[in-house]
Amino acid sequence: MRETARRVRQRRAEFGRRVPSNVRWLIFCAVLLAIPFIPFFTDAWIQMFFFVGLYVVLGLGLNVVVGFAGLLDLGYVAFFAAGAYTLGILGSPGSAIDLQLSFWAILPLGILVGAVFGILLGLPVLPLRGDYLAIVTLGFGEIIRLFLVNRDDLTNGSQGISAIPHPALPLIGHIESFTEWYFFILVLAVVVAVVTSRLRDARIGRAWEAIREDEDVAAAMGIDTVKYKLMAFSTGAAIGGLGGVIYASHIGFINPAAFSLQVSIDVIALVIIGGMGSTPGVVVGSFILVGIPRILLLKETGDFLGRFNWLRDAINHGVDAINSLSPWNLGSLPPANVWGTEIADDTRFIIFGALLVAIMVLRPSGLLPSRRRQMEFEHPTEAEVSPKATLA
Amino acid sequence: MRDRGYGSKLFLALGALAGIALLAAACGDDDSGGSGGVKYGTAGFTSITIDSGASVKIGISSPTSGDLKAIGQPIVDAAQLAAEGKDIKGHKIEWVVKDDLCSADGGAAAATQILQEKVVASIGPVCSGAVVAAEPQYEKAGVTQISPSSTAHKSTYPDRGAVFQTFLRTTYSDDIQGPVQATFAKDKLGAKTAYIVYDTDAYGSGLRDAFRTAFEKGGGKIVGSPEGYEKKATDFKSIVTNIQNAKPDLVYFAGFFAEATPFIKQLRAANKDVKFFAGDGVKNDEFTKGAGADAEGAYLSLPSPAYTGAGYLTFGTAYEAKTKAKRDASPFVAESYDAATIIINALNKVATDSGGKLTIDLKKLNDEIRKTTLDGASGKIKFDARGENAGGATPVTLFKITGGKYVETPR
Amino acid sequence: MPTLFLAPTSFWVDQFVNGLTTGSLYALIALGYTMVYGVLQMINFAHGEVFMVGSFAGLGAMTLMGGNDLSGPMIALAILVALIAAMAASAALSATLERVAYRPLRTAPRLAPLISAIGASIFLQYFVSDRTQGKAKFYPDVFPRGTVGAGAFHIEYIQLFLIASSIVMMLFLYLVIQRTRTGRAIRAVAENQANASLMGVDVDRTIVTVFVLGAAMAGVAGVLHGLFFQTIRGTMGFLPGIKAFTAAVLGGIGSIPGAVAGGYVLGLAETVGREGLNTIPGVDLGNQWRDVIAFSLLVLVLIVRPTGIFGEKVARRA
Repeated sequence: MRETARRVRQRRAEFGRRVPSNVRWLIFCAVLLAIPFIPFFTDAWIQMFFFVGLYVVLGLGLNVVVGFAGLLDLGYVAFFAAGAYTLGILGSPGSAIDLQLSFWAILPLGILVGAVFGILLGLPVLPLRGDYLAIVTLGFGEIIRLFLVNRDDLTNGSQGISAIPHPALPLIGHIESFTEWYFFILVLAVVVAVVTSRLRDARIGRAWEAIREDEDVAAAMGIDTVKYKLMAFSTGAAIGGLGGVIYASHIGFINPAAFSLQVSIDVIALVIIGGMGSTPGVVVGSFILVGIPRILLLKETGDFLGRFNWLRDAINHGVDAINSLSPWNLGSLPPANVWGTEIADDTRFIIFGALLVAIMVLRPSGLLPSRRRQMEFEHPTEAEVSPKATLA
Repeated sequence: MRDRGYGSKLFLALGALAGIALLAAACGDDDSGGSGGVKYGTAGFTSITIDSGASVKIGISSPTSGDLKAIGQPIVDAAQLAAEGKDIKGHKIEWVVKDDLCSADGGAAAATQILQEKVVASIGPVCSGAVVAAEPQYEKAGVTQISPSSTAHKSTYPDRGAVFQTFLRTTYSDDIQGPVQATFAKDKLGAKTAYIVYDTDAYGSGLRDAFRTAFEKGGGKIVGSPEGYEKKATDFKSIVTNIQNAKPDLVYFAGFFAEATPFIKQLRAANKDVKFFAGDGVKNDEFTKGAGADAEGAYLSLPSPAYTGAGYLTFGTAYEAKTKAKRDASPFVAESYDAATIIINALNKVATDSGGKLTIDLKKLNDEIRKTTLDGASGKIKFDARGENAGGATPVTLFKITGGKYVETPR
Repeated sequence: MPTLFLAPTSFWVDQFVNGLTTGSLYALIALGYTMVYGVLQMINFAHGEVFMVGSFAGLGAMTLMGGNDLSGPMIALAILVALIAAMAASAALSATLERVAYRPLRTAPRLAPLISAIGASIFLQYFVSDRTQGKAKFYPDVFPRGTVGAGAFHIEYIQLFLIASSIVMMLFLYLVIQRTRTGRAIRAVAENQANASLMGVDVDRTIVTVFVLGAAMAGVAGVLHGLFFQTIRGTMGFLPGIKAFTAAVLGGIGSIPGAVAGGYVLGLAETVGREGLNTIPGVDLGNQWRDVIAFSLLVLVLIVRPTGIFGEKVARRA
């Protein structure tokens, strides 16, 4: 058994080596381009793919901070919100500053505002190390959200800002349909993926890696650690700002409730579940954390699950038998066609939390780890490191 | 790989974006239509054909999971109750229920799923945040939506200026509840000064503004600064101390029962005399149950006419028989029932039958719904040009908690 | 708010007592963060949920003892039982978390246990929320109401009880750490795990002890929170957890007196500090700004004094 499994893994690895990564990416992109033309994928599906793409962009941005430079940022939503509100405040006729600029005029501003926020936050806290950064970024994310809620003279508070402009393109006109939005986010995700992976392989990426591995050694080697950490932080923040602009424009309405801590946790979780520092990991992580919960709500999923009513009946018979014997009533399963929505609704976060723990304990390098990160995560077992305390 | 340096790459990217920006053309507004001084946007009205034997689909967008299931599910139940035993010229009615999670993002996603099912009209969304995010989609599809519960100003006064022709509501705007509450507080409760405590969400901050404006306009004085709290807060001690210091005649609470319960307990521990007045968010049996004796004497209001008419009694009996829940345990159920009734009645008037095939012109359906006058479960309903319910003469009912029960009190 | 210029002494005394009350809860929870950080250099993100579970266990115990029908000396007994039940439940949960989610990751890179802790935190929040249908639960309203004090200074019974019992718990913990064999083992492990192990300290057991002690403090805080604010729910632990961690960092993480000081500083900053700022003309920071003040204070302290108020060398090791 084990022998075959190893052989299969070996063969798969060989295949991986035979097909160069560029070709694999091209095949992947071709599949993505074809998606909107498959009749099965209705608007709701395309919308789901759009959100997966949006979180890929966000994940790639956070990946620079967490995966490349090893800085734990728990307030990434702050930059996402900065981008979204830049577009909302400058672009909507309903905001306090009624400039009504076009989408394209504001997009660079949104990215810039994100980056500036990153630098402003990074300057005081980056000289500190690790865990302090986690709590300060978390606090910063909350501060930004509370500002959005309570400075209603500028942000309309919880009432939010609507009528946010859509991007217009020559020939196509305004981006309106779900398919157009899907292609738009696809192009952006590819651009961001190329930029971040280029950065990783460039000198700056090696500096980040050195800092991540051992900051003291990196500093001793002459790397200006604070400067490089700040660069990682602001790059990630700029991409977060970009994501925010796209989100605000797509939904057309923003309010502070959309920028809760949950967004930060979702993004960091998808980076980690996918595999820190890895671009394919971000794609897989987004699909699992953002795609699947939405797919569970779709009609087709309900129709598909509806075929399993026999299974439900069988289980319920079994449960009824137990119920009649035991003092506790275990209840019964709902109809099979609502299983998906039931999980997506109430149980999603329970599964999500357990999944995070399980992945960290069983596969701490994530599902599709970057090769370098994997080596780092493959830690020796406890017994090999700490001497057994049996001397007592 | 050659190193081109970090800065140059970033500028390259920014430069490319700026280039795209220059290429892109600006686009003007395309609003049109309107009536009664209200300007409408362009709705994509079409007509929908229903094959013989097929059913007519109506959407419902409501939070049916999580914390808000307690509010969302009864609204769905009530709407579905209105269709029982009814059809559209021989065609069955089919409900397309989607969970909108009460959020902007969820409202937009639910709208997409509802609209692609080719519904002819829709009920909801329940929450104002979801309404504002979903309105453009319904307008584009030309599908009329009736919200039974969105009380926010923004739902009918959109930021873009042009009103959504496809949005209507059977409930009443905060703009109506606030002033009635302010008048009642001043005239009936004799409050010259009021202290405001509010939930920082859309509901609480909207009501805060409506009450403050009206109370000050009527000559009342807001003492201290309005104090906000985040949902799920439990520590109101510091606010209570401020109230003790400001010595108001009345505390106005714009929020929900979950926070009102610990608030009123902490308030009463320090102050037994100050009057407590809150909006519909607090009127829930959980409040009287949780706060017990401390809730005694609290005043509450609902943005609905008194539920006493014949329509309400019929509805209430049927609702209790169907759901085994009390008819007044959850708000906006009668409004939801009425919304469904209005849609079904209008459909029966507008749908044209040719050999078992039904054709429904969505523009005509919208016109018919807008013309409706109904003496329904939630009182008289009539829509103005903006989509507001303008039917009720006194669309706010007041209650005082006496002996652990909500007792209606004259305005 | 210019009226505050004229605010009577009693206003400031009341706000001070409010700050002490909230601060006591922060301090009790912060102890767990700071002790775990002291020995493992990890943020036990799920500690807020340990507090929450303690609160629910306390409610369960009080309900079993009679709930709202409690009267006379039975109230005191019920509270005692609730405290013990809460400490037990919190300790059991915390030990389980250590075994399942943290111990396998003790030698992993530092991000791994932190993420695992975040996962555990989310799991517990939503699991309990799901079990309670997302509704709030109410502690029985049995604690006698009323105030003691003279002149401008008066304090509610419940506030007095809360502050006093948390100080007792903190003294108890301090004695355990400083005067007992277990405490010496904990300090040894915090100093250097490998050396402690060579000196005959059972490292695994000591680490579990640290989790259990911290959890017991959080359990007490859970019951006190329930008695005082009366409303509890599955998500109640998250914000106090973060605030308590902020308090631990403020005081100098790894330091036990620091956690206590940080808790009180934070509690007072949110109440007295905020109202103090409001006396400056043009400043109007309502209750809605209290979290902003807490987190801004954290950033300020870290800039001015990165090791916190009671910065010990553990902080530098961070």
